[in-house]
Amino acid sequence: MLRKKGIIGILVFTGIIFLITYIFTDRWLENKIEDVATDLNGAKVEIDNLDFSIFGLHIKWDKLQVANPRDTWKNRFETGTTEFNLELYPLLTGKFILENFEISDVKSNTNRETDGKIEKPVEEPSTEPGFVGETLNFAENKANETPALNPASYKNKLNVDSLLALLEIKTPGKIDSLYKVYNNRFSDWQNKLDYTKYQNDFATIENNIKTIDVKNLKDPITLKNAYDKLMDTKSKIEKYDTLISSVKNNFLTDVNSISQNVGSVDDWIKEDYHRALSKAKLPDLSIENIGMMLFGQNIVQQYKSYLGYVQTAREYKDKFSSDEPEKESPPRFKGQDIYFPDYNARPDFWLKQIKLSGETEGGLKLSGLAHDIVSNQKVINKTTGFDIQSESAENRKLLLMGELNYLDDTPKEIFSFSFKGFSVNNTKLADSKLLPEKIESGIGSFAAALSLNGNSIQSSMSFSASGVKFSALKNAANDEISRIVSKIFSKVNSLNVTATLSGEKDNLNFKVSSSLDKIFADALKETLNEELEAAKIKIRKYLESKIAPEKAKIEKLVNEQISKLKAEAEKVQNEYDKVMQVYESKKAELEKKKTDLENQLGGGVLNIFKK
Amino acid sequence: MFGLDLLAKLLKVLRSGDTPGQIAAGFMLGMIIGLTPMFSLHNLLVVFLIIIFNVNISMAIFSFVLFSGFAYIFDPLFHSFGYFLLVDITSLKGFYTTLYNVPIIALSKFNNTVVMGSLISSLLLMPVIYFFMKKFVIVYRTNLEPKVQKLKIVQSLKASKLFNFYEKVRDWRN
Repeated sequence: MLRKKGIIGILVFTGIIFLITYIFTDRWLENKIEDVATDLNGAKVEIDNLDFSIFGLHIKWDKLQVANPRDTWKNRFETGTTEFNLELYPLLTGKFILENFEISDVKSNTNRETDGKIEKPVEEPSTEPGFVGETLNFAENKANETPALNPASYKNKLNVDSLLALLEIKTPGKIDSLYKVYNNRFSDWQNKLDYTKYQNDFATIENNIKTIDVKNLKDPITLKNAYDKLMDTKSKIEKYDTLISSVKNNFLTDVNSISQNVGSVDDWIKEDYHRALSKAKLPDLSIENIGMMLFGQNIVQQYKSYLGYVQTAREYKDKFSSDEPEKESPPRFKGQDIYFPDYNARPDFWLKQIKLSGETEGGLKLSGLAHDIVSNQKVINKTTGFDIQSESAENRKLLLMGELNYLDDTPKEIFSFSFKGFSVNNTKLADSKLLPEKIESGIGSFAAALSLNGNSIQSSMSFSASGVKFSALKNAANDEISRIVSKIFSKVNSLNVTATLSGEKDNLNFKVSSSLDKIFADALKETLNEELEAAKIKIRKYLESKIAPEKAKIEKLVNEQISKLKAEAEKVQNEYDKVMQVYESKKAELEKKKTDLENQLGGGVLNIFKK
Repeated sequence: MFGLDLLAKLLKVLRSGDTPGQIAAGFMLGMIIGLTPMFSLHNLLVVFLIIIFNVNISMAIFSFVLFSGFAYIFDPLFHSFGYFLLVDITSLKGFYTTLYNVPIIALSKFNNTVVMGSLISSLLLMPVIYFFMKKFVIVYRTNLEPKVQKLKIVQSLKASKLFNFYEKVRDWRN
């Protein structure tokens, strides 16, 4: 029944597999981890001498280098000996639970011996940037909208002629459309208020009244008939009264609305004016904008780093959470996975705790803990956190803390980072011809706090430096502005920059301010205001020259048509009043005749009017 | 020449020294591998069974190839059947949950609709396939084989130069 050769074959096969695994697992695992990590990092991740012990499920390596994707000849960080254990039981269900993770000799921003660049596949842009992406775009746009400080662009390029030639003015087009709409509306009113339409009817009514010959009414019956005829005419007149009142009221309401709408032409002109200013990139030299001009781009880069980590964390949170699946139509041989409750409550990946120790680029010894880096926090009911600190003999202090909370449906992230007492020697400043190239010397402090709760963000960053000495202006021009700015920086010995980015989706606010704002604003206003105002006046005059004829045309139409139609309405009203006068006079004659007949024939004769 | 080779091998297996039970068992186990997704944990077990037990390996391979084609055709049915077993029969949810929490079983991908649908289908077909295959081998050996050998197409095939050449090449390769 049993095949002896088969059993021996399987035993041999198993032995070979075990041997191959024993010999090659280390290399295979090393390559696998390097490939996955390189893919995530966007630049090379290299591990040296990985050793995997299958019995204790223990992994150790001597060195790990994570290249910086922005500067591939440098490492984001590298580690010395790293070791950790894998839990066996979860591994059998395809889950990776890492314990006792210890990293030593962590160093940041180290040089590499080889280039860490990789050929990245072209990624399709995400259609849904999410709240974090939208917040970053908002801050970036805000910083981009504010033109960089550049004396050449202010002083020499305030010539707006070339801009005006290319400027697309929208107001004339809008006025033209409005003109057509109003023309149609006025024709409609002309039709409704046409005097000749009423003229014939009023003449007929008037003639009818006049045919009542009061003198020839000799008896009560003819008097009664004449009276009935007059009353009949009255009901016709009253119909016109209602019609004329309604048309007149509607007309006056519409006239008011038209007059108001014509006022919006001025708003369109303002829009064109602001668009022209924006294209000309004429700077708004208010204090609020100076900080953004000087440091906006640098701060946005800082936000990109911090929010980039949050975005990555949120992407992974979404990637690993899954809903109860509906029946799908999977491709052939793929099927659909149905998930059941997991009593073992183990996530697919869980790095319980990392203890790290190392040194920063500036030689600062650091140590810290990160805990519960996990594919699904809900399974372990714990948040992910980290706490890294450092202090040096020179009183430099660094603190980095954070918590990623994805236990509820609303993601929450909190970060705080502070670094005090560091040297700002040779720190480069924003790329502007109105700023020194770098801070030559000084002591700085930096603090950042970031709190995200679903689609709302509260964040602040502050940088301060004391004992500051600035280098000379970069490519300083020999003009008045450059001289003023050079003078400012020669006197300044401290610098404070603060930035806030806060608000909720669709209502974000990004502000940057610095201790240089007022000094800069005053100095620039003093020298540039005259040129700026001249440029603004030029733009305004240009717009007026293009728009004024169109505006006059529509104003003429509106004024002429309104007076004409009002006169027409008045005419109709006068004609109506005239008919009413004839009616009232005839009615008075009949009343008088009635009194005369009463006197002649006695009071009883008038009973006929009561029937 | 692959078709001829396969046909010759199949005919050879049917009249080989193996018992009808061994041939039917090989066919039955090959069917499981053919119908279900190949790289599944249960198929490793089936392969071990084929190697350890004295079943006909050629017939297992033939059956695997044959039923792989059926698997492609019936895949949507297996998916629906698997979904029905895993989701629609709510009384089994507790059982599946227990299995899901057993370490090695969890690696068997039993919670995949195609794996579950095709595996249960092949397990249900096992006795039927075994029974009919065994009967077929017996009938073939007693009644059909002499007739097949006498078939003109078989004789002309054997007599053809092409077949002789094929046999020479085959013998030379062997």
